[in-house]
Amino acid sequence: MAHSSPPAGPLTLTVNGVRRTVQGATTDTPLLYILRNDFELNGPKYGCGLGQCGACTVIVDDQPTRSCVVPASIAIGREVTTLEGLGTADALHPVQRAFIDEQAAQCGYCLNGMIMSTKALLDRNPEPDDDAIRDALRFNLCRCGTHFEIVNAVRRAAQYLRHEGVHESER
Amino acid sequence: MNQNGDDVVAVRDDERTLESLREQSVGNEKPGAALYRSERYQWPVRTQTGDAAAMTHADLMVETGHERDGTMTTWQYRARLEHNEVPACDAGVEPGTPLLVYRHAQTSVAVEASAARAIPVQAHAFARESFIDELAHALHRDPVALRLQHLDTQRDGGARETIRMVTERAAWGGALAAQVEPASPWVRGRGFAFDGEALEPGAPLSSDEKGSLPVRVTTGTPNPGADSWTAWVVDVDVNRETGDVAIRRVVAGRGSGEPGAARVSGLPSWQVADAVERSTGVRFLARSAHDETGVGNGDAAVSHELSVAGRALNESTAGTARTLTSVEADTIERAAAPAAAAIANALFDATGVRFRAPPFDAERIRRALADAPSATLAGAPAQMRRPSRWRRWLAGGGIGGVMGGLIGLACSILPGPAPIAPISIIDTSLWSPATLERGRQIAAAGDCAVCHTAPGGKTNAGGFALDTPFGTVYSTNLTPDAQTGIGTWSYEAFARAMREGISRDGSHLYPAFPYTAFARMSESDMMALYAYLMSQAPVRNAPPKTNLPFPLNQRRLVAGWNWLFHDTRPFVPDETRSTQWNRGKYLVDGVGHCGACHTPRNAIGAEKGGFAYLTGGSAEGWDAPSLVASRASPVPWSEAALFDYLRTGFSAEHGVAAGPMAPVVAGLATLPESDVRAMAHYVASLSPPVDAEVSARAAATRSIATDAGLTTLGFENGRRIFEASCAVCHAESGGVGHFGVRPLMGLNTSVAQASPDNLLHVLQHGIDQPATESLGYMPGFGDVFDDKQMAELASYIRARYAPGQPGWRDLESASAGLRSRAH
Repeated sequence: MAHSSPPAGPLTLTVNGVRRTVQGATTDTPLLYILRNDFELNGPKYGCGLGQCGACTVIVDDQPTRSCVVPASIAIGREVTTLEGLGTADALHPVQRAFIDEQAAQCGYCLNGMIMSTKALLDRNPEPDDDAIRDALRFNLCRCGTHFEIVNAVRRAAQYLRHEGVHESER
Repeated sequence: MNQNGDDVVAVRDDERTLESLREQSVGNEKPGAALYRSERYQWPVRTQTGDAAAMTHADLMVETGHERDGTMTTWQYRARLEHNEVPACDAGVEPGTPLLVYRHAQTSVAVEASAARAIPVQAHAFARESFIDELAHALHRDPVALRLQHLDTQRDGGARETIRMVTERAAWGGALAAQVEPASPWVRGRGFAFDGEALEPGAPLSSDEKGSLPVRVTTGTPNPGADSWTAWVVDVDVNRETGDVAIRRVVAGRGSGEPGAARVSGLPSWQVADAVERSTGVRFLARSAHDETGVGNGDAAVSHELSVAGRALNESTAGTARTLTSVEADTIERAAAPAAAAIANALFDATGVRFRAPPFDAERIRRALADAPSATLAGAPAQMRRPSRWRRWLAGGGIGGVMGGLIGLACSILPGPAPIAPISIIDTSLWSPATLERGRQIAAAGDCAVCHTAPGGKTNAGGFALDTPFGTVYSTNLTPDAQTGIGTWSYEAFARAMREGISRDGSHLYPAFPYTAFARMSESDMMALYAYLMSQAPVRNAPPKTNLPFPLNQRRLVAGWNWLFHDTRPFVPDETRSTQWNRGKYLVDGVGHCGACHTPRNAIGAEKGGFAYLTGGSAEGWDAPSLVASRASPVPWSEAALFDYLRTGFSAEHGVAAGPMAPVVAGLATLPESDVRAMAHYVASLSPPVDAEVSARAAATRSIATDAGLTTLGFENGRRIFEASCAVCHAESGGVGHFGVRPLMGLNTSVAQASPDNLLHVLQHGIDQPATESLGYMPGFGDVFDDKQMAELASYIRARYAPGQPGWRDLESASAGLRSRAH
C-alpha cells in the first residue's frame, strides 16, 4: 500500500475537556501512549496492547475505545474522557464510588476498563440485569477473579445513579 | 468572399466612417493595412400583421475592417426584414437589439425600427458568431482565440472566464474523439459560439461612438447586478452523401461574475434538445454526458451527449412538463442563443461548406454539399487536422499479418514510437479552478497516488514497488519536476502515455500501468487530469529503475503486446442504458480501472475479456473478489450495499475494504456522491437483481453462526484464540462496543472466499490504514501467533462462519508464505 506515513507535528487533542498539544508525535502513535506518556493520565493501563483485555479503555465521543489499538489521530476533533475525567478522589463518580464500596479490586489493573465500560453500559442501559452486565463486561479480562464483586459493583452503581439521577451529566 | 456585397444596404454615416478609417490607415502607413470583409446571413422570422402570421427572413449583414492578425477595428452591423422594400435604418438602438459582445475601435449598429422586435436575439448572435468563425478560418486563426482577442482582460473578465471554462470542459483544441473510418461518408466537426451581455445599468447606447468602446444595454432581464454569458461547443457528424446531421455532443455553459469567482452552470438537457431542434429540425434526445460529474443530483449538466430520439431511453424530458414563466423563457432563449452559430460553425469545420441561414436540415445540407467543389470538402478544417490513414494505421500498431513470434521480431526491427519534444515551462495559471477540481476528482477516481507514491514518500513522486508475476515494476514520478517527473511533458505526450502506454521519449511503458483502461477516458477528462497534475508542486525524486529479466527488459516487445491486447477506442455510451449506468461504466472501465485488479489476467498479463470481465483477479498478493454474482459473498451484493462499501469502506452485510481496496475507497470518498452511486449502479447491473428483503433475511441468519459441535472436531485451540483475541470486536454480541464498525465473520467475503489469503493478510497485519477513519482499526496478530496458531484460528473461523465452504488446506504454509512477503 502506498499510504505515506502521517507527518510528525503538533497534535492537539481535547482530553477531559482540556485542549492539550503534544509535539513531535506521529499521528499513528497509539492514543494510549499519548495519554499516559505525554499527558500523564495513568488511569488507562497498558495491558495486552492488542485491544483484547480492555485495561486501556477510554471514552471517545461517547464510544468506549481501546486506546492501545487506535492511533491518537482519531481523537483529533473528538472528545476524549479518561478515568480521571469521571471524578476526583474528593468527588468520586457514582460508578467509582460503587466499585470502592463493593471492594471490587484485587490487583486493580483491570479496574480502569471495568469502570469505563460500566459507565458506557449504564449510559446506554440504566437498569441492566445480571446477564446484561456479564455480556457487557465479557471482553474485559480480570486475572484476579473478582468477577462477583465487579458484578455487584455494577448493580450498586446503577442504584447510585438512579438515586442521584446523575447518569447523564456526571462527566 | 463577399458574395452578397451588392445587397449591403448603404448607410451614409457608416460609409463615411469607413472612408475616414481608410484614410487614417493610409495616412499612418501601417504595414498591416486594414482588410475588409463582409458577409450576409439570414434568419427565418415569423411576422404578425394583424391576425395573419407570415414567414419571412431577417437579413443580417456584418462588415468589418480588420488587421491581418484578425483584430477587427471596425464593426458594422445591419439588420432588416427581407420584405421591407425601403430600409428605413434607424441609428438608435432599442431594447432587444443586437448587443455588442466584442470590443472594436469603431462600431456601427443599425437595426430597422420595425425589425427590432421581430428579430430574435438568436439571429443577431448567429450572424455575429458565424462571421467571426469565418474570419478566423480565413486567417487561420483559432476561432476562440480570435474572440478572446476582442474581449478586455479587465472589463470583460466574466465573459473571458466563461469562454475559458466552457472550452476547457469541451477540450477545445483537442483531437476529436472516435475517429470516423476513412471510407465512411460521415465526417466530424466541432464549432464554438458565444453570446451574452454585461449589465451596465443606466447607460444608453449610442451606436456610432467613434473610437469609444461599446456600451451595452440590457434587455430588461430582471437579474440585476449579474452579467450573463453563454458559450456553446457543438460536435457534429455529417453524412456527406445524405446530408444527415447527427449532433453528438453539446457543451454549453452559462457564466457570470468575475474571473476567479466565476462559476459556470450547465443547461438542462431538454433546453439543449430544444435549441438543437430549432436549428436542425431534428429532435435529439439530450442527456448528461458520461464524463459529466454530478449526474442525478439536480445540477444541470454542462456536457450533454445527444442521440436520435426513439433510440435512447426517454429520460431527458422530465423537466419539460412544467410551464415556464416569461422570465424563465427569456433566460432560456438567451442561453440557447449561440446554438445555431455553434452548429453552423461545426458544420463548416466538418465539411468546409458555410451555412449562413438556419435551419440546417438534411435536404439543404445534401444539396449544398453536392454543389460544393470536391476540394472544399477535402479542405474542411477538421479533415486537415486528421492524421493520414497511413499514420493512423501505424499509430494503431498495425504491423499485422504476422504470427505471434514475428510480432516481437517486427517490433524490435521496426523503428519505435517517436519521442515528443520536451516543453520548457507550462503556465499553470491557464487553467480555471473548475478544471483543476475536475482534474483532482479524476486523479482521486483513478487512484494515481496509490501506485505513484512510495511508502513514506511524497505524493505522486513515484518509486512504489509493484510486484507483478513478471518482476517488480517501480512507478514513475508524476509530479511536474523537469528532471525526474513529467515537467517537460506536453499534453500530447501525457495523453499518448495515458492512452497508448508510450512514454514521452517514445519508449513503451509496461502494462502494469493501466493505460488499457485509461484509453477509455474522454478528452476533456484527460485534459483536466493533465491540468491538475501539472499544477501540483514539483518533487525531485528519481525512482528506482524497473529491471525486468530478459526478454521482458526489451520494452519494444510491449508494442506486440499492445497489438494483441490493447484496445485504444474511447468509451462509447450505450444509448439504451440510463445516464447513470453509462456514467458508472465509464468510471469503472475508464479512469477507475477496476478491471486491473478484478478481472483475471492471462498468462502474459492481459485482462481476459468476455465472460471473465470483472470476475475476480488479484492485486499485491490479495485476492480481488469477483464483482459479478460473487459466490464468495454469503449474501448477494445489492446496489445499496455496493454504494455503502465504495463510499465508506464498510457494508454491514459484507465487511470492510482492506488491503489495496482501502486506498481506493479513500479516493472514492472524495468524489461527488452521485459518481459513486453510478459505479454501484453499474456494478450491480452485472449481477442478477437482488431482493432486498431476501438478502436482509439471509444476512440475519448468516450472522448468527453457531459453534456447537465444532470444539469436538479439533477446533478447540482456534476457538480459544478467537474468543480471546477476536470476539471483542467480531462477536455477534457482547462487550460495550468499541470505536469503529463491527464486521461479522458470517457475512465476510474474505472468510467465504476460495483462498485464505485475504483473511490471513488481515490477521497478520491488521488494518492500520483504514479506508475511512470512522471504520476503526485492527491490530495485526502476526507477532502474537505463530503459523500453527494462525492456521488453527483461520480453520476455526472458516468452519464456523462459512459452513457451506470446504475447509482451507495448507494454512500453515500459506501463513508462512505471507509472512515472508515484504509488506
